[in-house]
Amino acid sequence: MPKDDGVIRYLMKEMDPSEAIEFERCMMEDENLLIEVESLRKTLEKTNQLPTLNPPDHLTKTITNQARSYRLKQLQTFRINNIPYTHYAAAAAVVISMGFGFMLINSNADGNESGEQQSKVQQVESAPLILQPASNSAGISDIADQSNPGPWIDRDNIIRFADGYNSNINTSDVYEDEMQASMQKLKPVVDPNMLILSRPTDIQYTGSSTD
Amino acid sequence: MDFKKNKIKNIYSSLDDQKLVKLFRRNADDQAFNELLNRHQTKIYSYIYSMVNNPEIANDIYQETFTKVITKMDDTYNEQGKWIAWVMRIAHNATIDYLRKQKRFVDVNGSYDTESRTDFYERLEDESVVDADVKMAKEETNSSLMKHISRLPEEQRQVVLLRHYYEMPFKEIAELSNVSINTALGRMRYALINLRKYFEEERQHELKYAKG
Repeated sequence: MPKDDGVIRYLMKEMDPSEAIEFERCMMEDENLLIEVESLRKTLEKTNQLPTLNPPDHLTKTITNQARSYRLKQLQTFRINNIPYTHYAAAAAVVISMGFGFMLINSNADGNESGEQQSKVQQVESAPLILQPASNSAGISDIADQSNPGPWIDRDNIIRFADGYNSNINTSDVYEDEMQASMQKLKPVVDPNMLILSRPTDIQYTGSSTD
Repeated sequence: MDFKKNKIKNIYSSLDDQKLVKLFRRNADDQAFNELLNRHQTKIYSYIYSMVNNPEIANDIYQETFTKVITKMDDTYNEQGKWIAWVMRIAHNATIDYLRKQKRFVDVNGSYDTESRTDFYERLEDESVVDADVKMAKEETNSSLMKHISRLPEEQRQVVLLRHYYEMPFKEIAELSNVSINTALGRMRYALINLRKYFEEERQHELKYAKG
C-alpha cells in the first residue's frame, strides 16, 4: 500500500518511472486506491481551469516607468562610484604637481627672505657701532677658532644711542657726554690670538678689561 | 517604422530571462524589462489575485512586489538563479505578509467574515465602488472554482496556486513555505479532498434547488 503522499506525487507526475509503474500496479490490486486517485484527478483537472488575469494597464505602465527611472538613477550612481583608475591617477598627478609648485614658490620666498636678512647683517657689519665681544679670554679664543666669525652687536647700546640721538639732536650735551664716556671705555684689543684671525688689519675695540 | 519595431520586439522575445535581466541591469533597457513583465505578469498577478480575492488589494500587492523587484535586484538577485522564481518568491512573501496582517487585524476587530475572508468595512467599501475592475473581479470571484479555492485554508490554497500558476515542484513549494516536502504534498492532498467536498456540496445544493 503506497503512502498518502504517493497519490499526489503520482497525479503531479513527480514519481520516478519505476515508482509510477509500482504505483499503477498497486492501483490495479486495490480498487479503493484507484477510485481515490481518479476522484482526485478529476478535482485536479477542475483546478486547471483557474482563470488567468492580467494586471490593469495603468499598473503596468506605472511599474515600467518606476523601473526605468530607478535604473537610470542607479546607473548614474554606479558610474560616479566606478570612475576608471586613470582618472584617479590624473587627479593625483595634478594634486602632487600643485603641491610641488607651491613648495617651490615657498622655498624661493624663504631664499629671498634669507637674502634680505643677509644684506641686513652686511649693513650692520658696516655700521660704525659694531663691537666684537671681549668679555673674557675664553670668548676671544672662541672667536679665534672660527674661520669666519660673525659680528657681535651690542644691541642695547645701539638702541639707547639711537633713541638719545633722535630725541636730543644737537640740543643736549647729555648725549655728547655719554658718547664720550662710552668711547673712552673702548680700547684696542691686545691679544696675541688676534693675529690668526682672518682680518688682522681690522681695528677692534672692547669695552671690557682684558687684564 | 512598424516593421522595425516588430523586429526589435522579436529580438527581445527571443532572448531568455537571464539575458533580459542583464540588459535591464547594465543598460537600463526598459524594453528588456517590458518583455520580462509581459512574459510573467499574468502568472504573478493571477496568483496574488487568487490568494487575496480582491482586485484593489491584488493591485497593491502586485505593485509592492515589483517595487521590491526593481529596488532589490542589485542586492538580492543572483543572475545565475531563475528570475521568475525570485520574483515569485517576493510576490508570495508579500501576499502572505498581507494575509497575516489581515489575520491580526481580524483578531482585534472581530468583524471578519470567514466566508468571504474580508473585513466588515472592506465589504462596505466593495459594495459602494462601481469601478469596472471591481465589477469584473466580482464576476470572477463569483465563479464557483474561485469561490471554492478561496474557502480553502490559506496553506492549502497557497500550495494549489503555487503549483497551478508557477508549475512549481513540491520541493520548491516546501522550501518557500518552510515546511517539509511531505507536509507540502499532504497540504495538496487535503486541498484536493476539500475542493472535491465543496464541489459535491455545490452539486447537491443545485440539485436541491432544481427540485425545490
